[in-house]
Amino acid sequence: MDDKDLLDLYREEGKGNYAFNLIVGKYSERLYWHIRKMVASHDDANDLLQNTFVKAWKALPDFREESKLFTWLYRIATNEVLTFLKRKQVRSFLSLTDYSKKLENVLESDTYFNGDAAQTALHKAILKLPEKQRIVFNMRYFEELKYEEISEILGTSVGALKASYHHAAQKIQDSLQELL
Amino acid sequence: MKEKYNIEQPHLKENPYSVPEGYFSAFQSNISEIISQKGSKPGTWSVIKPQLALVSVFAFVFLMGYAAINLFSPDVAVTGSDKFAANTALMEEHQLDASFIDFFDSETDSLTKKQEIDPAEIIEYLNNDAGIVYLASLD
Repeated sequence: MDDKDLLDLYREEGKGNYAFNLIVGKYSERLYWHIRKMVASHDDANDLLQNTFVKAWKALPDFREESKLFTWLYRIATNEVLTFLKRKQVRSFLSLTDYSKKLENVLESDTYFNGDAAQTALHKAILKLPEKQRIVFNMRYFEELKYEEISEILGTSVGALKASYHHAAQKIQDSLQELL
Repeated sequence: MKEKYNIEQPHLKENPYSVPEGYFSAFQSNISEIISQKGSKPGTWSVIKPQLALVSVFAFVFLMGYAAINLFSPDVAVTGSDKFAANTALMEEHQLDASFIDFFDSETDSLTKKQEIDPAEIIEYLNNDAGIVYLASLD
């Protein structure tokens, strides 16, 4: 069922919960990986994904379809992630610890990470990137979204996104040179 | 010199993360449960509802206070015009009482008391003023 049909179903009397459940089924996996690659930990990703859908549920009655449902959900998830990371960074700053180092440790101790040496090095390098650069890199590199779609989700110009991706890719390549 | 590592290698794009068995189906049921607890479609009503409840509470408290005041002081219940008429009547009544109290003298009330004149007083009066007797005899 496409997004238009899902939204029409959602607006039918008494079908709201059922339609929303279908939306969760359609997008939860995609959004989960988007979040997980940003926060590394499964538990954190699970909490953030849950918050994303609860917020979407609350805001869906006011959704005017000015953007695609998928773009709208991605935007909510991205905002959740950025808020979460900012909070974590403030806490790390107060406790004088390096949050990106913490993320690397999460990756090493995570039982739900099965990467080989090259993949581990790549993901460690990604976790060292500034948040916004990391988001752009992940969306383009792993999710293979078009710059126009990323632009719609993040509200940033295509030119700025291209520059951001280029810088991120360069940093990662340099990191891999050191790590491998 | 080390060869530059190419991040475009296909195997690097594979997802090395995994999730617990059956995570996504469990997640869907979990979310379904959460939104069921939160009730059906929220919207403008869910935003207005608490505010309306607050206004209702204030209105209820105000009405209770108003009713209590009316119950324990019945005079207040009289309408403005009724109150004015009652006050005017009361004032007039008191004023009338005051007039009678101030000016009524039972000793000099000619309407209620029979005048009794002593005959000796009449003779004395006539003797003192003989002119009146003369005038009366002219008739």
